[in-house]
Amino acid sequence: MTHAHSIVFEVIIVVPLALILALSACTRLWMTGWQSGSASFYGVRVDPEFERSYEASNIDTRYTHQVLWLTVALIGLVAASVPMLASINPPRWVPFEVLGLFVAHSLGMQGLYWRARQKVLPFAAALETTRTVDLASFVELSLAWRLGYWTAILLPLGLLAATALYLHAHFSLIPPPTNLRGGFGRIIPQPLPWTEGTAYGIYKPLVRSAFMNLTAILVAYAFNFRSRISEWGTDSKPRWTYRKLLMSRLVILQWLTTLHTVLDALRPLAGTEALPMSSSHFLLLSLLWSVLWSIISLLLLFTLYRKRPRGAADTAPDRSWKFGQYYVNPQDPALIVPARFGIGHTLNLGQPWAWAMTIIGAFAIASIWIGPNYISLPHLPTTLGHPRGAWPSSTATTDQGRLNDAIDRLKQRDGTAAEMIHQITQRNPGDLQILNTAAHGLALTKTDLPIARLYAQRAVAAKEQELHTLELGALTRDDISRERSLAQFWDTLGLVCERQGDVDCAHRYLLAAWTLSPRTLFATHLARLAEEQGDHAQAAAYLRQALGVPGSSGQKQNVERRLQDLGGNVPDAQHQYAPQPKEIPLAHFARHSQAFFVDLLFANAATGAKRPLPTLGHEQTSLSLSNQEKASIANSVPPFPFPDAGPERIIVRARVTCAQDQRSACSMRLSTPDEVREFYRSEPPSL
Amino acid sequence: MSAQIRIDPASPTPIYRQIVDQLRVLIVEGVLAAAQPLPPVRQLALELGVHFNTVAESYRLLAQEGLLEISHGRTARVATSDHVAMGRAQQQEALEMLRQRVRQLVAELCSRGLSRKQIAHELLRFSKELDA
Repeated sequence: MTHAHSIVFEVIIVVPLALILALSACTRLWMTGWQSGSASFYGVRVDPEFERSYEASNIDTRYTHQVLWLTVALIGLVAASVPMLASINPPRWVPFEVLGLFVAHSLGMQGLYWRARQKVLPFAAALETTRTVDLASFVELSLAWRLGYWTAILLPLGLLAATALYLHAHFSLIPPPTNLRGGFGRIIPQPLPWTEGTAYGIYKPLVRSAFMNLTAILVAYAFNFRSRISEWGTDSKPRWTYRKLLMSRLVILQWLTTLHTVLDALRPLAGTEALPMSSSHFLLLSLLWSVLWSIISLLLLFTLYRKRPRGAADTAPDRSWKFGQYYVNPQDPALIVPARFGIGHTLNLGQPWAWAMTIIGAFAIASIWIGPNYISLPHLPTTLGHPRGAWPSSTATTDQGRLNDAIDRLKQRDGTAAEMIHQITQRNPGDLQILNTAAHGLALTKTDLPIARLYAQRAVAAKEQELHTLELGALTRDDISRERSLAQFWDTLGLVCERQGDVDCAHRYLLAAWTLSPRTLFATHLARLAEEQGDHAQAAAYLRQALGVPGSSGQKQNVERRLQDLGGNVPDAQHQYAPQPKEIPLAHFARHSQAFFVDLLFANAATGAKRPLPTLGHEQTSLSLSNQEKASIANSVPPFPFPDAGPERIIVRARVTCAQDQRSACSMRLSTPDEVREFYRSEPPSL
Repeated sequence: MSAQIRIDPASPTPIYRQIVDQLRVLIVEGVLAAAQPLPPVRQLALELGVHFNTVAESYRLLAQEGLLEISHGRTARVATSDHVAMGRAQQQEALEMLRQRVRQLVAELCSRGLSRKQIAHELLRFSKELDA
């Protein structure tokens, strides 16, 4: 690490830390003096004159100096350690150093406070054990006020529940996991909870807010039913005003926080049909809400400061104030008492309910870290019993991967897998490959066949529409890819029809797929259909052809076994069954000295010409074809077996060769999309 | 006279007894009017910093004496019905209890340093207040 880097690093890290520590020390000192004048000095009840004594001044001065020296020492320690630690790996040590620094500072200041208190204790006033209560001071809040208050306190929980239900209903619209980062992402990279794609991540803001709401409800209960009225001041009216103000502040902050959480929780749905507002708008709204929250919170704090009661009675014994800060008195039924240290109130940790409040509040804070963000807890259920949350349990990172997982599970007779498949298709209504894969998986396992047919039909229709604009002379790689996909989709729809017993539909689509792109898989589907019809010879014929076309070795082994079962000839070698190129003789065709390619455009009979429209492969600019030759090609090619009235167009490439020794001995051989793809792979067209 | 209750947890007298004694005085002397509601048990216990059962026990004892009416175990009110007239024997018994307690009290106060004359003066003033 260079000297310049070290200085920059110190400026970036140490200066802000020093400012924060200094601010923290000043706040601490200010809060220590908060209770001065209320017969409490360092959490010890003393005579009012004691605070003006030499001893008090001495203790106070020493404590102030010690806190300041501790702060300066820690800042110095960090400044000195920066060059050494920064050279190791700054991003690693910085969070731990900062955390350790704050913990050390806080504990150090608490220790110093405890030490100062020990010095004050010998000067404590005689314990006043008598307690006086004026029976006339009991004023009941009106029923309307109580009803309104508790409704306002409980309603945010209902709001959270409604949000959870809304998320549940639109769970399928939530995008798959992403690497989107937010929050403090620029400082400490952390993914947003919902981008993990788990149900816990998505519901996490609501879970955290529910804990916060429960804490608020318990605090409201404590203020209403488990706090001493006499400790809110001596005058009846101001203390009730103050109490109402405190209770109202709790409700206002609870509402603001809950609404912010709801915004946060709904953010995954931003930009979807459920919430058309964009994600960036959401973020902006969230930021504005945070600003509003801060302003209102400060205003309320300021009002409380102005209206705080004076001369409140404090009958708690000094020994109940552990370390001068924590009230622990099991004999006292009060849950919440005015704090002897700092502003506001503190819990009576001698009561079990106070511990419940502490633990629930701690959960609310801990839930920021627990889960997908920082700490990975493998035993935490990632789906949280989400009935439609099958996809979060998959280890795949894409929906296509999850779909494959689900199909594997479906094959293993997992009852929830079908629901998972439907969920993924709902989430990806425009992804034709997912629709096709889902339909294929459902067809293979004979599950939800009507829905599978719907998926397959949607995929076929969309793909046929894509191929509607196919033009000769403008063939692109995407067009070739689309044609191959269309063959795949036709085959899937044919398979679904076959499983449903719709023979006509199955034959039309399977044959179209096979014609467009001869593949082992398509032939086996055709063979099975023929076998189901009792035509074993035709089935064996398809299976033999299946061995000569592209397909996996596993598929071909299955074909061989099937052929044996049918009593057909098992080939000695696969090449015996490789289909011989089907040469189509061309009549009235001028002899060309060299072979050339012709692209044939087949339009669906329902939407286009009945005969194909041929043109030269556009990379062969030196050749030309006469109209007679084009007509010869068009009339020689058999019509394409379109399976439906869809608007698709098909381009098939043909290789025309002419024998050199005979007149009019030209012929044409159709290429499959695979061959065309191979051709383009070696010779990219100049598109 | 204000309706105040003052308890001392350090006193040898049980807290519930302190509450009963003071409430009885407030009721008998009319500081707490007939049918006037008393604070809820939980609220009074909170203010006094004692267990809820302590206050509940005090209310129960006063209700047994006929000084309080507790409706459905909730609101406690000062009883409105007149006290049942005691028989001669009961009156003698009550007067004997008074003499006994006064003697005990006088002895205790003397042991704390008050003179007999001071005590007699206070008792005389008290008897005049009672007559009035």
